[in-house]
Amino acid sequence: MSIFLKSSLIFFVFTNIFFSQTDLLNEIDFDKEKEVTSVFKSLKVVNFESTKLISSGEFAFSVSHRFGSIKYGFDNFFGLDDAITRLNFIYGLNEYSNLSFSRSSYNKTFDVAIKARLITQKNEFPFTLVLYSSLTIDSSIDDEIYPKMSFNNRLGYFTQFIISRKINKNLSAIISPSYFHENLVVSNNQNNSQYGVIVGGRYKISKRTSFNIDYGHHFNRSGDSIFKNPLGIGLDIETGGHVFQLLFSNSQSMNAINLMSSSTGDWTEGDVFFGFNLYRTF
Amino acid sequence: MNRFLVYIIFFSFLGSISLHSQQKYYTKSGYVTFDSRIDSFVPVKATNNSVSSVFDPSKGEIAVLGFIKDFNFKNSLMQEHFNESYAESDIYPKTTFSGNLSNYKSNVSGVYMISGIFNFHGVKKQLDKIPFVVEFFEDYIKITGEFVLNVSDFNIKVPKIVKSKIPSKMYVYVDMNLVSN
Repeated sequence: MSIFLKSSLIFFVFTNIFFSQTDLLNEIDFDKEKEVTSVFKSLKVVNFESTKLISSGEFAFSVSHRFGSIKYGFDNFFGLDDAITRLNFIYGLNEYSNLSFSRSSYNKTFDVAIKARLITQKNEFPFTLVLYSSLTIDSSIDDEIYPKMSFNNRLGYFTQFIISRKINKNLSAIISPSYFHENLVVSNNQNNSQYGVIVGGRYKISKRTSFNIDYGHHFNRSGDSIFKNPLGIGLDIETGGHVFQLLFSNSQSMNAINLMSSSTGDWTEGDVFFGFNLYRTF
Repeated sequence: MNRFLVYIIFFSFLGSISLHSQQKYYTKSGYVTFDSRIDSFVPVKATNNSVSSVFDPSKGEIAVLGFIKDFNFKNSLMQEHFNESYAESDIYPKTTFSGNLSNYKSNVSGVYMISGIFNFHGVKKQLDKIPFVVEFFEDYIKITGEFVLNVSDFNIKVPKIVKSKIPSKMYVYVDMNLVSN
């Protein structure tokens, strides 16, 4: 065979082999813009809301306890003798919003809240943005103590934008500018309209456990206030359909508005409360 | 030099004929389901309706690609666990198959044995002679079939506490209609 024939035959064979099976797969291969998932395992970071929502049509129930102060030691069994309980029922209205209803034995407070995801963290957008808004009703205040009170005085409003970022597969953080208004404040010098910011995060220490922390900073607390900023530190444990959050907090309240405005504990004096949040999704 | 040029042109022409003689068939809405087929309170079953596939009818070669996040479970918590802890879809976002049909005859509908490489969770497994039904219609080709996979073959980490809840076998069912461009 002439050299020209040989080389052109080789050329012909090459052009056919070139298109192999892997090329067939490459033809349909592409990358999709990725929405981040599993930013937080639970609906709260420790004391305050995370950007997690439950799915459309789903139902979740949470039980939270805050015990008495651990500072009395064995006497009140490290606070277990004095327990405050909050029961919360959450319903997934649709893919991006949740409605919840709760009752806490702290000031016998009822609350109804809505949580809505506005933007999800994706390839191009670096944050998830969630709006959380709650109305609280303090059913413990009595006209024996406040003779001129009306139903209105029982109400409180709390609204915040929760901005979260999943930094890497183990670390997520939030920052939540918040506005709240208490229709009844304890001190005359305290403005009813109050502002603050919450910062927090979670760090996964294993596939199903994480170390969580959140802190609320109040911007216009009155100078004579006896209350402190709330700091919560906890451990999340996830098992199948439940998430347990074991925590220490300097507040016995479990509603955002009470946490920000009237937390009585003090970390610097070891005046903290042991507690837990337990979630079950149905 | 002249003769060389003639041969090049002639054989390239032949080559191009064989490459373009038959159009390939595609889909972006292939249906793939995996199911443990164990009756339980919450069954382990998920469906992906946007699987991509390409079929070369001149050679009987096929490639399939699906995104793990597109597999929908009825229970969203199960879907979250599947993506985060088992399939680890942030690290391995896609599952693919690349193979060919044995004893393939173009335009003849029937049962063909498909062999090739299946890829999931970063593990490549050779699948051999899986019977698939290939039906040639006027405007489309329908490919349906089913195969079984062992969960243990894919390096999936299952913690002891939930070991009894994770099934050992998954039945994968494929149903795709591919059209030529």
